[in-house]
Amino acid sequence: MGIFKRLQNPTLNVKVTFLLIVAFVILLIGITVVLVANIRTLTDQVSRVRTQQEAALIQTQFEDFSQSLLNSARVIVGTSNVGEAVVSGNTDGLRTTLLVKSGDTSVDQVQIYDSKGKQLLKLLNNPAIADQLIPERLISLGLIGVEVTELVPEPEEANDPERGLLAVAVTPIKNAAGEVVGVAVVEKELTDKVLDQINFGRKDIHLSLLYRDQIVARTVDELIDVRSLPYPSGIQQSLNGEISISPDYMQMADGFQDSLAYVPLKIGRNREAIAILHIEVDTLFVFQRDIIRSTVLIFSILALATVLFIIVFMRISIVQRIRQLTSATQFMSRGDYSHRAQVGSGDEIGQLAGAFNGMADQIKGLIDSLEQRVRETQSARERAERADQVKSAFLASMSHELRTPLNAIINFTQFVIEGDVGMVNAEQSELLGDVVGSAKHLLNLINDVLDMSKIEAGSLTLFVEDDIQLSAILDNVVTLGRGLLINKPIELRTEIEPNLPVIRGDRQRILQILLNLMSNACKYTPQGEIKVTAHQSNDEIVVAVADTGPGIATQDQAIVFEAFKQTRTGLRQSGGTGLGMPIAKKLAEAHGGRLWLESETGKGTTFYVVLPTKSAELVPTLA
Amino acid sequence: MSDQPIVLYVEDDPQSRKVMQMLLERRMALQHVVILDNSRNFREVVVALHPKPTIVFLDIHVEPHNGFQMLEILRELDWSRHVPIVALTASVMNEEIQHLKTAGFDGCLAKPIDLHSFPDKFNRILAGELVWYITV
Repeated sequence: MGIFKRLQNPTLNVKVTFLLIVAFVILLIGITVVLVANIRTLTDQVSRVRTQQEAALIQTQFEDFSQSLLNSARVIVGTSNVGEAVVSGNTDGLRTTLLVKSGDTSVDQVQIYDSKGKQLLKLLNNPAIADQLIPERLISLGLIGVEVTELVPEPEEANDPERGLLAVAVTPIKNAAGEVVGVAVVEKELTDKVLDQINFGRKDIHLSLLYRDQIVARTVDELIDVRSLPYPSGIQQSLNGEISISPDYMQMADGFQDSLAYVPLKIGRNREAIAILHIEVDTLFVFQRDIIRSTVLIFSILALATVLFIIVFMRISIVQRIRQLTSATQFMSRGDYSHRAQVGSGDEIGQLAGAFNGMADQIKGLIDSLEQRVRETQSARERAERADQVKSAFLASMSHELRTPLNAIINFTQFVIEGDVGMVNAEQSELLGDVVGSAKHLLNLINDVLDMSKIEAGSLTLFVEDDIQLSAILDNVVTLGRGLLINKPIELRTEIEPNLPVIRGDRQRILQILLNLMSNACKYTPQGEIKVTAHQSNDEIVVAVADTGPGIATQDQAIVFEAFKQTRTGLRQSGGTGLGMPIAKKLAEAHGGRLWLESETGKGTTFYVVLPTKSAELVPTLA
Repeated sequence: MSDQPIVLYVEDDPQSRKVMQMLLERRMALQHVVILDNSRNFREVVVALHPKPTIVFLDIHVEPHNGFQMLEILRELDWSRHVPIVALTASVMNEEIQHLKTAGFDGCLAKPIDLHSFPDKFNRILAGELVWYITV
């Protein structure tokens, strides 16, 4: 299972090993094919050359054989008194002389003919030789003084299927005067044994003598079937007198292949006999097989060694270093950015490791600077939060510190005006009244600035309650409005829908919003009427405060809600802070509501406040 | 005058103390007015008081114990259970008012004090009414 899994998801080593093995197998097959083809050609050429040499040698051997036969004849002819014995017809003397000589020459048969062509003597050394006639043509040639050699077939015999072939040498016998007086004929049969001698008795080279489509002698036991011999045209060629080498091998019965040549025998004028020469070239084939086998073996060993070397090299030079890189990467992914890969040499993996280390450096730098930034941001935020707290505390403290003496001024002045510390005249009372008014204005200003600061700093918090009766707050507001309108020719009317639902919000802040609208209307309306209406519309309550004042020009309407700004009309007519409306609008919005105005110059202004009855944004503070 | 209320007032600002003194002692002619200018050893001081106050006014910004802490100290004492304790503060326009309510004050009066309505409110508080007088 493990090996199977490993093969399904092979490591680099396994992949490379597999590729190497495939490459080497392909290479091995290629080398073997080329080697076999070349060695085959080489073997063919070697065997061909050798066959050619052997054929030439065998031909020379036959020539030598022929020459030695002739020499034997010459020895007989050169014996003293042979001429006189032939002339005198002294056959007994001749026999005695020749018996000694013919024993030396190891020929099969010696015949002596006289000048008339009549046989005088016949000495038979080999009884196997059949008695036969020497062709008259040869005797005639001898009688005119010519030395001749010739191949002569044995006469056909019924009890001898194998027809022998004889080599015959004819030499003229001369008297003291140099006249031809007779001829000597020497014969030797080309037997298997003779053939073996011509072949130097070698066992790997074989000769068969072919005469008129018949094998007449051979050095091997195996009788060649002439009709199945390869390269039959070579036979014809050799019959014409040329050595012929067969391009094909000769298939032997024992399974071996022999190289083959047809060799003409250069004996006499008879061209009907040739020698079939075949050489055992198994050694060459064995040699060929050995070369291929040893080459494949050596190559396989070398390939195996190379694969092993490459695997070891891969392991040391590539796999181990890649594993180191992987390990370094794992360290990094676990957050240890200080770990570095060992660079090693400057090759591609080394460069990769170098680049990795560079990247690690950069990442470490980035992370360091990021952490630095985060720390800086944190400390900046902490500083900002501290600053906000300091600012809030400062504002609260300032407003308290400013209000405390103002409160004293107002109360003390009131005591004086009201005669607690003695009588004051009308003029003094009026001026002291102005002191109280100015002090109260200053107090409002401080309150508004504090509110605005809170709103702009986003630190305004509402004290949210769930059960605010808006009608009660409106009663309160109307009461305060009536107080402000004493001695003014203004009628204050209300149209408040009965059974308004309770709403969610900050009681104080809602009062502040509505009071602001009321005091503004009272302040800027010289005469006419002020009308307060309230009604429910879906989940909202709409409150409107309409006056018959001078109105606000269209271009001035937006300014009303901008902090520290007032319309010209407003500035001229009142000593307001200019913060009331912006604060009221912000407070309405903080409740999830809206505040806006509609006005027409000369006809009056209507301020609208819409408050949701159950604002989702608001969460009761004391839930 | 045994039925006259006995007032305790804690205030660190001398001018505020003077205003209340004029209001309570001159205008309302109250004879039992105790005014403290700090809250050091507040528990011991209050425990030592005799006769016990029947109405208490506390400024919020007092050292070392602020108004809320003084309220807590007072509520731990048996006699104060039915004594109205009222905050006097200048911080009337912020959520501090709501904190006063939830902390357990019986009322709140804003500074500057409305001289005309003060006696009426004083009596209402004394009668057990919760008075949250808030100006804008």
